Amino acid sequence: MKNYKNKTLGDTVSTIGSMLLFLLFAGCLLIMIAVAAGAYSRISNGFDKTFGATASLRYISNKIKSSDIAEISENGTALYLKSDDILDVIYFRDGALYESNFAADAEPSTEGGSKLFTLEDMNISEDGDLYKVTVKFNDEQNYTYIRR
Amino acid sequence: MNKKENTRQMGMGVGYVSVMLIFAVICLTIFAVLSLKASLSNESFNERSGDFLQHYYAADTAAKETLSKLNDCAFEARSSGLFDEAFEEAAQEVEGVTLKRTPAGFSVSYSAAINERQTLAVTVVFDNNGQYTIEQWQSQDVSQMDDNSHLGVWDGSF
Amino acid sequence: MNVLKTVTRKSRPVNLFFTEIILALLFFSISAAVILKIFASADRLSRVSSEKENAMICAQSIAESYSQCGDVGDALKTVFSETADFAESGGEYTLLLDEKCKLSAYGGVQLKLSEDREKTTAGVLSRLTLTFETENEELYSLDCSAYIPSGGADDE
Repeated sequence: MKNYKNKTLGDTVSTIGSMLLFLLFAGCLLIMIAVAAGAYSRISNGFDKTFGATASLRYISNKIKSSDIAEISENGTALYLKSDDILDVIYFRDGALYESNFAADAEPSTEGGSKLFTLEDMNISEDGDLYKVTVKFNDEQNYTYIRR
Repeated sequence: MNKKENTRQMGMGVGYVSVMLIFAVICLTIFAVLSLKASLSNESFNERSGDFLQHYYAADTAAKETLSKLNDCAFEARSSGLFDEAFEEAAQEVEGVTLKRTPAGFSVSYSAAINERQTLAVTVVFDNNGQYTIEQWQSQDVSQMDDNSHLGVWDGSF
Repeated sequence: MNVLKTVTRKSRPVNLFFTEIILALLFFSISAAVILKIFASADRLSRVSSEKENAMICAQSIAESYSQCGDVGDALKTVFSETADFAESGGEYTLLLDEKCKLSAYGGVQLKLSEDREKTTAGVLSRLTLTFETENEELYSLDCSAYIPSGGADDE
């Protein structure tokens, strides 16, 4: 059984004061850790945000640059790229960009394939002598032009 | 003895603050290092993409300079009256160009290096009137350009 | 004497606690300064990276459009806006863009385009240098070109 009878008012105030100081200190540290975690998440998400859109644009433009013939299909949601004996099909379906490879004489389809990027939308259109590739990612639209 | 214990429990104990501080500093340091690492890897990825783009357009400019020289040759050859001979002679002097006669005129091929792995392959066809058509303006892997660098696949013969 | 002993014993833990908290704050302020500096540079690097990424996509669009038409004004109209008026001064264009490389009057990114035209016997070979700047620092630079055959110098 503890005996608190000998404690003075000064002791109690001092104990409460130091406890409050400790709690304040602990609270500040926790806030700082939360702020740091938030900053890290913002920096990391910021990279993912721009990467998803620009990397897909870069990928499609590099594919067009290295193909012999490029053809837009399916209202601009698919792109047929012929080079040598390979037909490369890049298409948008179910919120993602996919790619499939076929033999040049095979019937291409926009089914299956390997998933490249998660996107909200992708469209390729002709603008004069240029292709306009538009992608939508995180509610933001990005586009680039490529020579035909 | 009891009195002694009671007096020792007055105020906050020593050490809690230090432990919390060390924990907090470690957490903050980890987040700071992870943030910096994420930014640096993003930056290095961007650096590579940016460099590739610059190299691609440098190769594109070099290819256009060659095209300009070839078109000048074609223009001068056309002015001379004897297009075929004059163009063949002049075009062969342009560096890095391979000239091939076709029934329609000349097929001229050349390439400009983008980097050590890729090259910009160009094929331009000049008709007998000296007008040109670009047949190919395409980035290719170096291995694709080099006929000797095929995979060692067995072709069925012994 | 006994009373004095008790007072000393009672006040010691409180004093130690305060001493510890003061030392902890001192250490924490030094470490926080270093950590904040790291965070600030990581944030700045990330922001610049994001701007650079958008600048590269924008530069590619302008370069491709310019390669096709050989005219800076037309290339800018294709990429940014058909209706915008791009003012030229001595072969140089300056555009204000936001961090996403969209036209903006209060943009933080400045795009400078400088064109150099070279007349050849049978055409015009022009070179365009695109420079994206932010806070007076170069963000990204790209050199591209266009070759427009004119059928010969006689056409001029």
